[in-house]
Amino acid sequence: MSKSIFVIAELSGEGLHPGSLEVIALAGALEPSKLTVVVLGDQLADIEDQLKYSAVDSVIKVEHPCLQHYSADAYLASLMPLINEWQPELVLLAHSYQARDYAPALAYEFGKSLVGDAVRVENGSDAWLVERQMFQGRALAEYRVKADGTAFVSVQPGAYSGQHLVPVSAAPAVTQYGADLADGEALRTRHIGLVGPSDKLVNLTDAKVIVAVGRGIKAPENLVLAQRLADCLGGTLAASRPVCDEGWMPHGCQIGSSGQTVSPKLYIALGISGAAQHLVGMKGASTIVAVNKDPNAPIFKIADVAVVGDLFEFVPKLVEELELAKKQVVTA
Amino acid sequence: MKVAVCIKQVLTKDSPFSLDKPALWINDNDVSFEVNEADTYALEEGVKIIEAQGGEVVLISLGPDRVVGVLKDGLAKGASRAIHVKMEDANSIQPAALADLLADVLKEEAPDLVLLGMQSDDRGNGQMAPNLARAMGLAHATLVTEVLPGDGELSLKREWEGGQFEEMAISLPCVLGIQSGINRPRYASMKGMMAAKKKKIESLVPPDTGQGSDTGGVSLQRIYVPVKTKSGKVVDGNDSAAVVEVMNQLNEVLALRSV
Repeated sequence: MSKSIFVIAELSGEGLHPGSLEVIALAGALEPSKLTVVVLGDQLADIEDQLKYSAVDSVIKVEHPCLQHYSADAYLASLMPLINEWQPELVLLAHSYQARDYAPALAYEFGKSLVGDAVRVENGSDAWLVERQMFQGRALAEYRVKADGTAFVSVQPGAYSGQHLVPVSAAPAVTQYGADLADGEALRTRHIGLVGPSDKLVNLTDAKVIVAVGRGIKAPENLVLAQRLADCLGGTLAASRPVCDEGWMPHGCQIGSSGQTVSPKLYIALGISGAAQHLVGMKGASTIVAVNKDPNAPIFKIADVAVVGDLFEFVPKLVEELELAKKQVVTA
Repeated sequence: MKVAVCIKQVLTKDSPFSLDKPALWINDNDVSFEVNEADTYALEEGVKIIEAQGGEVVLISLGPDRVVGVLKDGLAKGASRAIHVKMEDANSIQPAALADLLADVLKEEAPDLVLLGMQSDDRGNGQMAPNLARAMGLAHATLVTEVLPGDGELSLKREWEGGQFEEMAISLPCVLGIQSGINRPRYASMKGMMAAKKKKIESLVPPDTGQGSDTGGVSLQRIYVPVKTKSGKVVDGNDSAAVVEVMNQLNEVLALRSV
């Protein structure tokens, strides 16, 4: 079944969002009759030069001063007539923060539900087969998305690789599409400015050893236990989102989609269940040791050593053993 | 200001679950339930706004009779009154159709502001705020980390990737998806619990308009628990061998003894 696919690409700094390239690679693998990449912005200059891949058939540039900064109203007002006119059978986009804000609403406007944060998309005979996580990664759900009109799917960053896109020398054909936004008076939101990280980032990207705590640490006074383990290993203490939301540790040491992405030699996860948003930030670690009471915790699916048990029982024993080992080295 | 806060009851965090026979949902009889964590932040934000400005917080939850539990809890935490939209199988309805059902209830209330948590801990679609906004013809913003009421509009801060935040304004009425961590949700006080007993919980059955059966082309085939993707070792933390196993791993990775 060969169908036309739109990938709505997102800009990030000077280039494309890495998730957008992953989605282009996925779209190419679905063997569409035509793959069109849509980019929105104020002035898109030669953005097509960043899309010189064999998978990309054409590029649609939607340029308007009101698209200088993202807003759901301007994106929907631009994309709805475009999709109506071109009638792609599938709209794919990276499940970025921006997509979380407008992609459900875009699908809604076409009488559809977005299937969001997909980890697998396949081309079935009369439907798209899409898989996404449920219950915070503890289960997977399979959907059939009928290829009846336009279907909308957003894809979890990191679920596919953008590495295998085949570069070509010529840029794809470009179509300019005029967004009907007048001077933006119909927009109900107003961009004021961007501000950087609210508290200082702890540099975790260079850390060789990270000991990360999750909700299972239960109370801030228990952090000292995790710190002792980190000290034994010459490691850095970090946390998952709930711990930072509680104010037990600063957001600057948060790992995951809304925090930092790390790839240490050793990652010890204490009381972290492993929601997708956390895993995306640490699955590049060479060795993962996880301690959790719940045998079905998603973190165990990617752990090299899964310690099923109470961290308050296990970690003190481990710290004791490590301190003993150190002493032996000194006295030897 | 009239603030509507939509909350969902979900299975208790980390509680074990089993799948039902067609593998389309979990066995509800096996598990305990609690309020969806993200929604506690939405409720707290709503209560903070009316404490500062006056007005009321109307709490809304959609689901079977058991969801009255989270409504009572929300009333004890400062909501003014509650509406229970009775539905047995709301989890089988796709997000766009569910937004239509909820929008019908909300339009009657005509709130100035609708607040929701970003994402539910069960289905995790994270679509209700934008979909509801479209169904009601209102503006929306999600991933909101700060709300400051102004004249006919709100000043917001919202989270973007890479630790960035956007400062923006949104015109009222509007729908906001509240990011977790925006505030410190309160516990119910004894006084709050006493006051809650006098607060009204209205119960209504949505008209059977057939909206729920429109899947928008999306149908769930099955839910399953994935098998391990990495062949790691599993050890019992209560067994002393666990420490030995982890020590061996650490030695291998970090060459501890050679340091």
